Amino acid sequence: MKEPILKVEGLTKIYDSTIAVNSISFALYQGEILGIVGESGSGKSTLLGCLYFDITPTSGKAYLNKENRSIFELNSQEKRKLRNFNMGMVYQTPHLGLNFDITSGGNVAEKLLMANWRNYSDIRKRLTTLFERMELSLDRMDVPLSTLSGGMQQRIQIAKALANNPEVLFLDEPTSGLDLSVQARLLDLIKKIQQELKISTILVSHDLKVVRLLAERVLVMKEGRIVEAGLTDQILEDPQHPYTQLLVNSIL
Amino acid sequence: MGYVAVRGGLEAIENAERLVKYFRVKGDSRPIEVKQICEQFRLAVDQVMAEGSLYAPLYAATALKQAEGDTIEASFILRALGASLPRNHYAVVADTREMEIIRRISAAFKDIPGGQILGPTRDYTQRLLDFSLMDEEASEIQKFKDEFLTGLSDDDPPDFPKIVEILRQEGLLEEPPPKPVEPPVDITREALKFPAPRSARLQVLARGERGGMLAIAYSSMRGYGNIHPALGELRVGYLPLRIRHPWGEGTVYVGRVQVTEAEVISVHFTGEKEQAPKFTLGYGLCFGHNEIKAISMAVLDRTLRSVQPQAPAEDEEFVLYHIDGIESSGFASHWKLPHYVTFQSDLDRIREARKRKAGKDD
Amino acid sequence: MAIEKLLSKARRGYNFAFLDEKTKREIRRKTLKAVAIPGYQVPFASRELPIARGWGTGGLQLTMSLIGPQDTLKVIDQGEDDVVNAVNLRTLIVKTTGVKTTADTARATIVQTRHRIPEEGMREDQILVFQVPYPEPLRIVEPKERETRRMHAEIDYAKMWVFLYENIVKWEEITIGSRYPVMVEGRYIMDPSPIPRYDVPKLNNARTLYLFGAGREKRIYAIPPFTEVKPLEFEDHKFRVEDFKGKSCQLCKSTDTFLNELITGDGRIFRCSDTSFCEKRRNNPDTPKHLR
Repeated sequence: MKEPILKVEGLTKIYDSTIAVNSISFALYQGEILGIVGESGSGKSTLLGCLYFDITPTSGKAYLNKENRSIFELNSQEKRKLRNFNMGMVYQTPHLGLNFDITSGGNVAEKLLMANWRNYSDIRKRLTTLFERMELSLDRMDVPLSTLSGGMQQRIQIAKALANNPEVLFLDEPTSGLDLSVQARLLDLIKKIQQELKISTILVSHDLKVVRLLAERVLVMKEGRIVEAGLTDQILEDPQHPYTQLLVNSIL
Repeated sequence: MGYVAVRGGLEAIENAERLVKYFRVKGDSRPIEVKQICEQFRLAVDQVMAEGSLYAPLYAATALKQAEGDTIEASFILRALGASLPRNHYAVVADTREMEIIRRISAAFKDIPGGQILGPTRDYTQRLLDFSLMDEEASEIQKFKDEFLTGLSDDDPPDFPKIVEILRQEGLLEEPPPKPVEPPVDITREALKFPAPRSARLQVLARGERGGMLAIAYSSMRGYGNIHPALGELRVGYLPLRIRHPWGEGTVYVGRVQVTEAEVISVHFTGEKEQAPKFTLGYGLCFGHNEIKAISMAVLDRTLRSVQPQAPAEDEEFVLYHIDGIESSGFASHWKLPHYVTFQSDLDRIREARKRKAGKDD
Repeated sequence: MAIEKLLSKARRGYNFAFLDEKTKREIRRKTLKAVAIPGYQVPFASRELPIARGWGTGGLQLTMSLIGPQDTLKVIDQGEDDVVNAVNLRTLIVKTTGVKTTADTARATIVQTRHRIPEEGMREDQILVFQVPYPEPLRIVEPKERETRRMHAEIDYAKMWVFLYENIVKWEEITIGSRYPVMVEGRYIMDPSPIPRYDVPKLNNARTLYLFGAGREKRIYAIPPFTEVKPLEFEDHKFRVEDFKGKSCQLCKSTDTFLNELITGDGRIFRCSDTSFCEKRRNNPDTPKHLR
């Protein structure tokens, strides 16, 4: 039996009078891709934002790697350390996750430097490996990020997220801002890399097709709650909740 | 005598000091009296007191004399003087409704209770150079005074209700901020921290440099921002100040200061969903008669409360860190100091980088 | 009150060391906090002095708050005692305190400096006060104070390191001339004030209390004696000091001091930046730099 690497219990986020995330509990297992699907406003990105410390949850707990202290109880210095050493995040658009004032290589190097890499040639070697893995041409490494296409910028984000071999990887609609053809190639690449590296991953998407392609298990979210959970194939074959049925029907 | 004489710096400074004095007095006119500056350069004195953040008209006039009329230099001298004095008391929160008004206008309403009091203003005069001032006669001045002062009434001035209160009673204006805590945050005793409490923010604005504040406030009025001000009320007058009784009960009157107060209504209204929208208010108050400064301050007070700051005038750090005349002028002039050690370090770096590039191109 | 009476009051003397006693005590309290947290920038209110902002008011306030009648003072700018700015600051301190002054580093109890650390090693019983224009080392990568304070609190220094990384990508080495950022006790990145890189190693494990004052920016920070101070560097791109190989001081012939380049009619000559040490060497060429 696989061990859970991340356990979330009763996670809740309330904005003024809106409950964005309503007492969510689930586990992420070693090496799997867990899909979270739902329409915009269902709370799925807020959930991810809480886990990556971008958003402070109202209540709830989350345990990483069998630690007995919830990650939300850590102080800001400890949170940053966890984020830098143990987590990777790919945001919906490059503008959210990258610095456009520096080179594309500098953006990836940032994550290594955050994790105390202090040898320049080691950093350059690691960048080369990551660029190759992301099928990015090496002559793009030292040019300003802004000169890269949207698809390439998104690959830079993924390279940055993977830079430290994180224990958990968060993907927040990683392809939804891209053209269909670019999207397909990037999804293939993500799948290939995940299979190679076996990084435990949470993938958030409004698009069941994307989730079907990548995730073995899926949570369906609506109005801040999980309305259905199970193996992706099972849910696609035999959706129980009316909302899931609606989602499934819309892609068939 | 070189810029960085290897020896003899003291002599150089002494000579420079003597030269400054010489340039100040080299003409053959009589030395200007501090009393004359105080009385006849009233607005310059007011500006220096506000930016020097010390209400001391005679000292401000002396500083202006010493600085040959340079207001930044004069307010700097006044600030330094203030820094050498212990702070013994804080005034209790003053109520500007108690002001003895010499001027009071509203641009928002034509007729206001108490009336529009134009007071001493150049607003509606033509700015034609008055050549007659080139040789003004004392006898002519005396004649004018005699005429002007006869027939002035001794009646108590009428009550002037606050215009913004009227709007507030109608529910059109946001509620006033809570009464400040006493003693207030004192920015001369505690460094600014962000977000800055409103009392700290108003203090920085009250002693800011007029030109700098005007430029930033103007950028907001002109288009880099979303405030759209209307001048609710502008008052000039004398404000009584009190302190807590040092050992007994109650408060003690310690004197009055002349101030200019501006209340600017932002017609860009705000309101939560399902609530009726309201106008918001920006507040300006400074020493002396200085309308441009009070209005700029009120505009900036309002811009700094923007919920989602976008324009420079709405950025708290940008505004509060850059409007102090003593700080900005001091730093701008420090570039005149020698920097040759740091420059030597930079020379070393550029030569090294050039060497490396050259080596590579071969 | 008659004008004459007011004016004569204005001419009366100032307090010892200009600032009032409460102010001096406040500055000393902030200084103690700075000493307790090496490299951390302690906010302080910062008074206006009769010296312009940016001309050393931070250092002056530290000196004024520490100095007593028994102290012996040395003030230098660019390493020199007799340049106009140093003379001006020294004159103000002497005018308001009456303390003894010296150009001899070894004899001073308080040394106030702009842009240099004296060549001669300093002792435990001395204090070196630095004038600081930019206390925030992260300002080059982040303009916002709120953000830089957060970065310090969380040891979130990646932006600074990316800046150094990109320097090497572009120029094959770090291009910071002076004000080279240092890491204090493995905790805070600190701006050492605009001293040359040549002086940076003297910050590490020093015997003397180093105090840094930024008047305009209203910050005090400190390096207490025997504190670990390391320049930011990569393992394979080491921090390097200015290169004076093959050059010597035209006056004292030293080859182991920081030299200023002087342009003369017939080319360049070099002279010690620390003029009082240069004079010592001229009198005794074997004067050592270090105490140990």
